[in-house]
Amino acid sequence: MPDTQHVTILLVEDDPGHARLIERNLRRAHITNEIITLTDGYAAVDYFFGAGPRRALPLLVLLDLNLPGLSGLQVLERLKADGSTKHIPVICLTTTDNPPDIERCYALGANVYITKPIAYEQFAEAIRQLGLFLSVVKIPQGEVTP
Amino acid sequence: MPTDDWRHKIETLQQQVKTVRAAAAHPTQLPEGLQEELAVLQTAMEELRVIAEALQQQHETIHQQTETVLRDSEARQHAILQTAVDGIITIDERGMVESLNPAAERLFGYPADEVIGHNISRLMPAPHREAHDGYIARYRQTGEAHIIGSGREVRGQRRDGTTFPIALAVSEVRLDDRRIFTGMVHDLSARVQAEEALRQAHDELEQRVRERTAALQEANDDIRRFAYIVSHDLRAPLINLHGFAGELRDACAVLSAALPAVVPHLEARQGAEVTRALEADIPEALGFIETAVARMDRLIQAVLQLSRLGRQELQCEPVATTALVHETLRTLAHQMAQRQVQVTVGPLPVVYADRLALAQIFGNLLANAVAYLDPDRSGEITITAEQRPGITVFAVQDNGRGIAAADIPRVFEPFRRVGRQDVPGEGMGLAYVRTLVRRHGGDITCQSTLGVGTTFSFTIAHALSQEVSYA
Repeated sequence: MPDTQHVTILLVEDDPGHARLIERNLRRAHITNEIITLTDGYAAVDYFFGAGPRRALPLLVLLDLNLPGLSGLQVLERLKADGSTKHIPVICLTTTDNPPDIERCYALGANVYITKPIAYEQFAEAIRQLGLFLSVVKIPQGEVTP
Repeated sequence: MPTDDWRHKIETLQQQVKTVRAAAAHPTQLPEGLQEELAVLQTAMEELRVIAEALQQQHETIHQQTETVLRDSEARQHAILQTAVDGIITIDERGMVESLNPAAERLFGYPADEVIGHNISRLMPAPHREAHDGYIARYRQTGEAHIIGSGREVRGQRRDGTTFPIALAVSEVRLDDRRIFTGMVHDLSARVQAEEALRQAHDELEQRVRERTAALQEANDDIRRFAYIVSHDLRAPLINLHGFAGELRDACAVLSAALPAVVPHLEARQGAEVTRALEADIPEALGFIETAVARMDRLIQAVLQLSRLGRQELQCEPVATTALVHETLRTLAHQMAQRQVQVTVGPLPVVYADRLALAQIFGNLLANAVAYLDPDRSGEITITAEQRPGITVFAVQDNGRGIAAADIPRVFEPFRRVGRQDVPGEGMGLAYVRTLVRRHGGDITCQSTLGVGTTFSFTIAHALSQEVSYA
């Protein structure tokens, strides 16, 4: 899948353990894309909208909702409100399967919502499915025009 | 004796006196031997005089009494006018004041002489002040009364120009040749002030209730948010614990796979220790960690669930509880068949409630009733309902093992499990049930005798059908 090989995955996750587990399981599911990890919401917003040279847009965001500072939902809202970023697929990751949270995520334009399962096997399975999703979804390259 | 009879008798007597006087004018013609009759006449005359005097006196007494009564009556009327709390004012047909009592003087702040002979309109504020002559003229022309014969609340104006609320009742008095109007003026200032104070107190109370309710609601929301956040944040580290325990297991598997190749190169004792560490100690430690994590996760999920039940919106509708209970019993059919349970479902009403919540309540209570039956006797479970003012009381009664008196207060607490621990569970069922019952404006109680049986009674408020929410 040459297209997906160039996709940079931006992982926004404040818990280093979770970040490590997600990364390991992505690798275990044979996903070799570059993974950039950011640990809070402001860093994520700065990454997209901050001053300085425009960076290549990552084409998939894994977004933890329970972030310090700017919450995941706020980051999601910013991304989906801006023409240059609203087409980037966003996968929300949380520790809860609270229905109102899920609804809110989808209402704000999240593409997928994944509950971080406690059981290791389920977690790996969820990440693998994420890998499958990555290989089937058509992800446009480079800068996106609104 | 009627007046005419009296008059007739007196006239007859006068006539006879005249006859006797005429006869006495000529004494020569007086027949002989009348001395005795004359004496009789004299006695009769004397009696008559006495009677006449008595009558006269009686008449005077009656006259005096009548006068006294009249005087009293006038004095009383005067006293009433003078001491009346309400103002009493009379005016003539042109609106000129003829009299006013001290209460009216006091109310309006005028001495009588500044009002008597003046137009009554000086006691009124605009626009009535200018229009009052017109009111009287209209009434004289059309006889159409707006206030006469009835009363209404208007405003009076004092001498200092201030106005005050009064209840005014006007009546018309027809004298021989003319008519006057009497106005009764009752000061409403105190009442209006009291009403205003009452209204203010009421508003303040309402405001305070609103504030309290908002504060309570906020505290309630805080508790729920807290439970939610705690559950949420407690789960995050568990994901790491479990995830990295899994990573360690994987790493151990890699080492274990290499073990047969490595062990021969080690000393016998060291080889045995490495083998035991890799194949027994580490897996055992990981097992304990994973069991503890799984238990912690279940507890957190239970708290989260409790918090959700307390928050979710009730979808209330009429629920036929007989059908609901039978549905619930069907899901327990297998367990009940094993224990040969006899179930009696009394006549149950239709209640206005959240169907899912009610199913959960009955589901928990009935599952408990079945699970905690006494294996030494055949089980009996009875479900009944009773209508009381404002509430429906449901009862689920069993002849199971019962709960020790000391344990009863704790059965509804989260994570509390009482009695012998031979039935699996987290100890959350009754905590959920109580939360759901309370959402329905009710409460749940437990009566139990160890070794005899248990009855759980819960109430559902009828007020739910009137859109009252119990947050």
